[in-house]
This record gives sequence, C-alpha cells and structure tokens, in this order.
Amino acid sequence: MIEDNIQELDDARLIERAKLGEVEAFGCLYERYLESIYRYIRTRVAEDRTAEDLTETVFLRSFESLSRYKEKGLRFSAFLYQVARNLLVDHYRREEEELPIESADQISISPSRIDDTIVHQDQVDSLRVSLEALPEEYHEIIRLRVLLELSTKECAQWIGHSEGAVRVLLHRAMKALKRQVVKDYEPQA
Amino acid sequence: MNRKLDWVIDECLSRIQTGDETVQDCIQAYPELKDTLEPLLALALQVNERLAPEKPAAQFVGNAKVRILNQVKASATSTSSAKPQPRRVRSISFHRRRWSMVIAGVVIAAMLFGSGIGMKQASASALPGDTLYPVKRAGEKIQLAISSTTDGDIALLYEFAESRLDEAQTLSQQGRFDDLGIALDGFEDAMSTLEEIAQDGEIGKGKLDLAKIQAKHEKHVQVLERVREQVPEHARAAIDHAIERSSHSEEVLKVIHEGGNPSDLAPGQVKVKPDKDKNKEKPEKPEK
Repeated sequence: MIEDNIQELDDARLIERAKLGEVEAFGCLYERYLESIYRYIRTRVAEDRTAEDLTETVFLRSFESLSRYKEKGLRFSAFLYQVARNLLVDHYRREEEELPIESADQISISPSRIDDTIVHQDQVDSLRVSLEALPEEYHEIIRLRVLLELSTKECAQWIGHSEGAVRVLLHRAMKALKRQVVKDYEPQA
Repeated sequence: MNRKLDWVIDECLSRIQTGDETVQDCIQAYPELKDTLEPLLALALQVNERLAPEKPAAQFVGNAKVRILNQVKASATSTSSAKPQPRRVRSISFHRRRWSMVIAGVVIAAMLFGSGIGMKQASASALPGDTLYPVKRAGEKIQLAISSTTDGDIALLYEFAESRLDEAQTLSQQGRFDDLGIALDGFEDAMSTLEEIAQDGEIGKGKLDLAKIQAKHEKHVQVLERVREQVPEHARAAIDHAIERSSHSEEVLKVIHEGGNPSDLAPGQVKVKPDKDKNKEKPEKPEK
C-alpha cells in the first residue's frame, strides 16, 4: 500500500526513506529530477554521452552524501544542481588538461563535414557564440530560465538568490545578450 | 521603471513558456514597454528554439536508473549491515564521537569537492559579478548541507553572513554598486536561514551564547553602517534593510534562548535603536 503512494510523497519524505535504505524512494527522486539535471548538464557539454555520464555521477554522489543532507534552505533539486556544478568544474579542468589548444567542439568536427558544419553553425550556433561571450552569471541565468524553462522560484532556489534578484539578473542578461548579438552580427569595417 | 520592466519580462516569459500567451499578447498588455520588451522576448524565444537541450534518451533513463539503484542497493546493504553502529556510538565518549564526525565530514568534503579544491581556494576571494563567485556560493551551500549539528549550522551561517559583508565592503570601496545587491541579498538569506535553523533545531533554553551572538550582530551593524557611508543615496535603503534583518535575527535568537516562541515576534519586529534610526521609516526592499 505504501508503495502505491510513494510517487506522491514530497522530497523531504522521500529523502527520509532513502536515508533508511529504501531504494525505491531514491528511485522516485531520480525520476523526479533526472530530466532537469541532464538537460542542465547538456547545456554545458558538447556530447550526449558526456552529459549522460556526468548525470549518472551526480545522482550517485548525491546518494553518497544523502545521510548528511538536510534541507536547511537548500532544496534537493538545488543540492543536485550544486553537485552537478562541482562535477562540471572538475570535468572542464580535466578537458583543459587533455585538450591544450582547441575546444572539444572544434575537435569533434571531422574535416569532410566542415562546409556543412559551417552553414549549420551560422544558423544554429551563432547564438551560442554570443551567449558564451557573456559573463558566467548572465549565461547561467539564461541557461536556467530560458533554455531549461525553470520558474523564477526554482532559479532562485538553485542559484541561491531571491526571486527579485533573479528577475534583475535575467533582465540584465537578456540586455547584454542583445548587445552581444548586435556586436557579433555587425559587419566588419 | 527598471524594476517594473524586470517583473514584466519575467512575467511575459513565464506566460509564453506555459503557452498561455504569445510575444504579441504581451506587447499588447504593455504597449508602453513595446520597444524594450519586443526584442528581448523575441531573442529569448530564439535562444530557446535554437539551443534548448533535448530530453535524455529513454534508453539512457531506464539503463541509468537500473545502474544507479543497483549501486544504491549495494551501498544501502553495506550500511544496514553496519546499522547497529550508530547506537553503539552513543555509548562511546563524546570526544571519540566528535572525532568520528569530523573524519566523516572530511571524507565527504573530499568526495564532493574532489580535485576541485584548487577551484574552491581560487574562488574564496571572488566577489559578486566575478566568474568564480557562483563556485564560492555553491561551496558554502554544500558545507551547510553536510554540516550535522545545529551549532555547526549556526557557526557556518554567521561565517557566510560575514563573508557577504566583507564582499559588500570591498564592492563599495571599488565603486561596484551594481553588484552590491547580490552581497546584501546573500547576507539577508544567511540571516533568514539562520532563523529557520535556530527555530527547527530544538535548541534548549539558555543554550545559546548570547553575548557572542550580540557581538556578532553589533559587528554586522558597524560594517553595514560603514558601507552605507560609501554608497550613493539610492543604494542606502538596501543597507538599512540588511541592518534591520540582522537586528531581527538577533531578536529571534534571543527569544529562542529565553525559551520563548519567535513566531510571537511581529513581522519585522526589532529592538528599538536610539539615535539615528529613530525617525527612519522601514525602507522598502530596494531594487538590486
């Protein structure tokens, strides 16, 4: 009977039960947050496969530290997000060590596909270039609020700011992106 | 005006994302903001259409779940076979228990931060608006999430609050007033979490070191007043608000220490400050 209702439990109850070793409870948390964590990581790495590996590691690490996790103003989804960010920091550092000059994106393009890729990038990736030129804080709020379509409240919980600060940040970030897009498209003198 | 625009952009984006409205509907609702609103919303839509990531592949979702839950099961089994231990721990001396907690904390911190320690150190002096600042704040969140005692939580939150005040001081010295709001917001968040934890933490009557707490809050006010003198007029309301927040938190802790119920405090109730705050109205939460 308990099993029938487990999907309806809130995060705090699921965490309590997962801490007691109830694997299904952690399974519910996984199902609840897998998509948002995967999609967040996917906005930050070039390959599906890398995003999959990192997502899996986020959940395993979260379970390892679950016994010490208490909400204390940090929602479980925000906790997963922080673990994901730390993993990404390590991931980029390892990549930098392995790829001294070009980025992984550039290396993954095979020479025979360069022409097609350039046309495709003109249409699809030019915005990514403009986005990447923004300060990290602006880029991050656009990832969360615009790409992942998280609510303002969720963004506030994830990045640890108030909802008002998230609104201000989003407005500034979109204005900066608009300026950057104009600059990137400006014909060279 | 800017504050309204912040709100309108966010509200319109929410309505467009839920499919309730189009960009045109939003512009019709706020015709006076058309010139600013239209390009920003159109750009947000373009960014979403072109760059939003796909959902994870169904095969990965299923396979990863099996792998993760198998590992969780294995880990839970090994934990449950050692389950009587926490009960035995209660009978060992306080110092040994304390040390076991410290060692466990170090192991978990090492697991979480892994080789990111260098990054964490590098971010220690980051200020709001700096690239590494989110790393610094993320590290703090994790420290708090894995702290295992109410006393530890309270000490950490005072440490974070002081760190926000140091940031506010440095930002004001550097004239970076636009970023000041993030530091003050972080300070208020630390105070508000402190109140929540103190209320939920089953602190016994007379258990808090009230003199130490009072000294900390006095220091908050001193620092904030120093910052207040360095910032332009429009940024002062945010500082006044932070001062009030600190005083309110001090009152909450005092009530808990005296065995009372902090919810008896009226919202925003603080101790009355003589002199210069006497005639000041409660400031509206300013734009940051």
